[in-house]
Amino acid sequence: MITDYLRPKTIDEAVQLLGKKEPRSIPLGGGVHISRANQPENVIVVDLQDLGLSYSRLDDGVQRVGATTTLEALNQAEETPEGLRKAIRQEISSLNVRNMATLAGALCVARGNSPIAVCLMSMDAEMVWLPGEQRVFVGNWLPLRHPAPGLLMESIHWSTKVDLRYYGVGRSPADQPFLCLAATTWPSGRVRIVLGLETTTPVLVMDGKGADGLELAIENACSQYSNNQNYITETSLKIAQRLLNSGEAQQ
Amino acid sequence: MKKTSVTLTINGTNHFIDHVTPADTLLDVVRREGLFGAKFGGCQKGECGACTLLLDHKPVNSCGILAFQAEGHDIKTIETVGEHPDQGWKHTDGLHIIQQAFVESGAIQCGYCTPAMVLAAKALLEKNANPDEGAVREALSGILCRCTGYLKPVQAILRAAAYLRGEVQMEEGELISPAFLNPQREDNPNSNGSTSFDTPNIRTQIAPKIWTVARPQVYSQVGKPERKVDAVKLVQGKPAFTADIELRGMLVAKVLHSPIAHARIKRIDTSKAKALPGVAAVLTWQDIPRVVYSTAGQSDPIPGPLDSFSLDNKVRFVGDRVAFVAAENAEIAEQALKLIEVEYEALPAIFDSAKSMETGAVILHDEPEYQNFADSNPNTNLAAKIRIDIGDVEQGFKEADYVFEDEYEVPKVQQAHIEPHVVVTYWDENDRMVIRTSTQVPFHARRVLAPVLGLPMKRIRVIKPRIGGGFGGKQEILIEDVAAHLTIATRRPVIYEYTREEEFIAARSRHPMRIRMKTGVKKDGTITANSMYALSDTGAYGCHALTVTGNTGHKSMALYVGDGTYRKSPNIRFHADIVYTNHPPAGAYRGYGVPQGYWAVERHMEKISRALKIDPIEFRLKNALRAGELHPFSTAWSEGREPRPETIETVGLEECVRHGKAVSGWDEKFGNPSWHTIPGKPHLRRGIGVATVMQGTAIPYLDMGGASIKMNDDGSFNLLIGATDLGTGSDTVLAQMAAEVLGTTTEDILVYSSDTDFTPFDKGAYASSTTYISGTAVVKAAEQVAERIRMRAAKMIKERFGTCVEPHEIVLSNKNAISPDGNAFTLQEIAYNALHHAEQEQIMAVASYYSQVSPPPFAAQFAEVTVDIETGQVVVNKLVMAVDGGVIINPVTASGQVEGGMSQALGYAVCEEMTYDEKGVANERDLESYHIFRAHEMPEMETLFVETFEPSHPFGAKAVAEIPLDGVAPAVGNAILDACGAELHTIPATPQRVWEAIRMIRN
Repeated sequence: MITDYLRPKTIDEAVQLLGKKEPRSIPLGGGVHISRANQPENVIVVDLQDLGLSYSRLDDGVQRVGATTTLEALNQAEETPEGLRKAIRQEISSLNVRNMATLAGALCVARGNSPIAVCLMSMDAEMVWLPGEQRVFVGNWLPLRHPAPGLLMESIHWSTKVDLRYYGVGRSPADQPFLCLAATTWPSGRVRIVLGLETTTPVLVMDGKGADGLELAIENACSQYSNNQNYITETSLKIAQRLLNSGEAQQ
Repeated sequence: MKKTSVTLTINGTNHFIDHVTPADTLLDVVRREGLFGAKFGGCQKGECGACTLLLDHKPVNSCGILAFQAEGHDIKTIETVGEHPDQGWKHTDGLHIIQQAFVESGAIQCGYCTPAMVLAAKALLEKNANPDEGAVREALSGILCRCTGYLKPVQAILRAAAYLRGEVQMEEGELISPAFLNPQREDNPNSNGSTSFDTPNIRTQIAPKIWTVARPQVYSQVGKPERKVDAVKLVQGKPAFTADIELRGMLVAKVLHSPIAHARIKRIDTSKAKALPGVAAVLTWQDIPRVVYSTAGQSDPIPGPLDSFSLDNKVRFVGDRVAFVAAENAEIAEQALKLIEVEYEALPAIFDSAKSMETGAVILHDEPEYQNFADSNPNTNLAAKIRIDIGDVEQGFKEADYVFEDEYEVPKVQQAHIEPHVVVTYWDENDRMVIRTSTQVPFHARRVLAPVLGLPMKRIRVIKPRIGGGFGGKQEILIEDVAAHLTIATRRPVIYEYTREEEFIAARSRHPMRIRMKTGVKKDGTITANSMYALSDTGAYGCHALTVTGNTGHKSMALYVGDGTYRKSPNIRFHADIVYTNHPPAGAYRGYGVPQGYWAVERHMEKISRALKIDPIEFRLKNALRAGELHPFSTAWSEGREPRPETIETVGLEECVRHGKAVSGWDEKFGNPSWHTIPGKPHLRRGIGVATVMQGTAIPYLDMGGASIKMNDDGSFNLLIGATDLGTGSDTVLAQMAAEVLGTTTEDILVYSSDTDFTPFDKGAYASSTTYISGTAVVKAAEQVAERIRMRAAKMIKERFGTCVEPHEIVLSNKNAISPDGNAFTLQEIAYNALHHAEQEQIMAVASYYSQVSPPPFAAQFAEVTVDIETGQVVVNKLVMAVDGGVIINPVTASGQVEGGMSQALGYAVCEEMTYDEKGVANERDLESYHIFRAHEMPEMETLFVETFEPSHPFGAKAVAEIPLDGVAPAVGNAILDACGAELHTIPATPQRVWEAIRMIRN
């Protein structure tokens, strides 16, 4: 149950409030999940909207996105890679929700089949946590999440000098995918493929020069998934091949 | 110090709002402020968007924002967008152009999501004055609509944009005109495209194409796309719905639902819950009378077992009722639920319908009060049993050259009306229980609830405000008793509103079925015998068990009688067992059992025609029922009542097929290998499929509707009807028919529906019956009123002009009563004369109607798909439906029914499915995991009407409301087969199922 609402004006104030343990304080981004969720315990919400963390900017080939940037703002930002835009629209097909939901919020509640998490992990995006400007790769943070490297996620950044390709399989065009893949290729030839399934966190399929051994890597990635393994494995492989070969995975 | 107040800038005014808790959402607070245009869809994650507001000019879900979060932002609600144009002496600017476009375009059905759509459109058009259709659909992507299929709302927004750009002048009272096509004129310029709206950027598809039939006379109101009589209030977001009311001291009800699929309640302790401050009442099975009843909203006697109690000492599914709580607010009520201590004695549970009737299976209904109906047998978990044999089926199989057998399966799916189930109850000043409820069946609700509440029927008044969608889900007396019991306990008003999760775990759904088909055919394609066995899972209670499954066979197995001598004596068998399991109960859902049947029948027919190498359409038409033939089931079954033979007078199926083929481009696509592949995309295949279907129109010898019409001083009329418009436009259609008979305009018919105290009885909105049954009652009442008007007019003409004229010679037209020689009085003059001047009388009449027939509508459904043969993904690209619904009374509302129906059926075909874990716990509990189509993913849709003149209706009408649910799934299934050879037996056609079916052929 939400027992109190606080809206700090500075990051320092926010960090201090988020350090409160009794009752626990939780950060409030867009509110999509927190406002309606039946909180099992008494919590104080700390609204981050006045902290100036809503931005997207391009710094020397790196896109830096503030934690409270809404998904629609990120979708509309010119510098956002097309593959990520596609993922954003598939993760949350409702414009209304994209107008509210924040990037940090989306990552905090991301499950394995989150297209945004899959893409950010594929791009090897890095997050910055406060206090102390703690840096952690999304791919390292997603599997554990707790304890967080800080009290407040400040921003996430990734290189835009990469080629990100994304594809998701759902029951209908705007359905949240039950299977999705993102493949990122660096100018150096580095290829990083991430698979999203209905699990707790996305799975890293491969990360290295080129895509040799893709089939085995997909098999390994799918091996821990018990449901419909044949379908998942074979389809994942086909999609990965399509992403790497032509990028024409979409209908 | 904790914040307890907030200042919100709403519609340009600062609102200081006190007594706000940190957990209050923006939606909670704006509704408390009396701004009811934002609606509650029951969802937890903002899936539905009915609560849309503009926050800093962007559409957001107010249910997903805390009230305190919105402080400092600009909030706009629908209440600031336009207003009623006529407010007496006060000048207003009238409706906003977007609202006008919604009204004109027929974009409003139930209206529950309409304010949200208008706001989303406003936000879009403020940013982008010239959006294309894709941008409009994207703007609507946050708002779920279960009624319209989004087609007309999208076109309304494009139309509004054109108005705002000044490209089109808005004409007062302008209406969308359908393309009326004369069947004799094949060269009609509109015959291969939609009617076009006169701007270069809009290719409107608002109005359907209609191949008209000769009418006995020229109609002024019937057949016209009149605007909906409730459109203006709905587009403004007026407080028209059940929850849009505030009563002093109103309590909030919540229900404790069972976490266990099957158990006895050994002990239940409510003391802690009762002690919680703010709790007004906690009720368990020990507190209220034990009255057995059925929750099905049907006529007396209920054609099914009586097997339910308001509260019982046993629970039979996860989500079953355990206790009721009423508290000062929802939060306290939720807390109280957690304080109720329940000790369950778990019992074995059954989730597989095939095991339900096995010897030794645990019995769900061992209560002594259980009342059988027909062949129900609780000792074998049998809620209903059907054995229908027409002709000699075994002989028919012997006469066949080939016998085809296969099994099919259809899932349990949710109605997903955007307005959840909701009821408000209170004692009025006469100590009568008022039940204000979102119901399709107000009169059945009153009758069923009386014994349950221990009240005489006359002390219950049921009021049905506007309904935010029902689709059969509200043909159930589902929650009215909860609030009423709590009002009795507390003597206070109570509101009970389902959350979306409750809709999934505790409401009704479409019956899942396993269906076995066996069909005998000769080499030339003549069907010699057709047999279906359906195993239907009714869940824990038998509401609608018999009648839904009866319809599965009654409609889908009636269509193909065979050819030649088999036409006169078809061999048809329909057997079904409807069994109890520990799943949530199934019930009524638009289509009422028929979509289940057609998935099996139409997939089976496709398979047979391909095996015989006969064109699938020729095969169907060769064996299909024709005009003048007996409805084969009419001699054998009538929903548990005595069957009576019925001849089918009108069948427009061949014409539907012909026009549907032309519009869908069937001849260019079917069997054309080059069309099936897409250059450069070797993993994609195109396919086209068809299904032909029939439904019913009302239930013969049973369904009855009444209507009352009275004339007012100004020549307008009050039309009081018990019929319940659940968004379909039936109030409008009934008004059009009354206006036609009375020689006036639809807007001079003031419709009120429905209130058990004030309106005549009506069975309610189900079985595609309102236009036909209630409509005929309206016409009969109008004819009586018209007769009184003519008689008085004859007298007035004699007195004023000295000429004698017989009443029957007087024509009512254009708001006048006109004699053959041209002498005329206005309806207002006649009303004044009757009410004030001479031999005063109230001109009024009451009439009712029931039918002895149920004339079936027919339709041909076409679907075009693209299949990704590597992932199994199916994209439905286009749906075309050609419907013979008799004479179409209102082309815009009727086509809205077809579009909305097709979009629901599309979900049934490809993505909707309610599943459960091994303990019977629902996997889908929201509209995210249970996906229904959004605006920006809909296929192209086109509706065609092929009229016939049904002689049993005064204007030749049949039904259109349910038939759109029947053919989409099999047409899609057949299109998938056409695309890639995959034989699907089960829907929805999920990627994995399609992939596996493709694999089957490769292996």
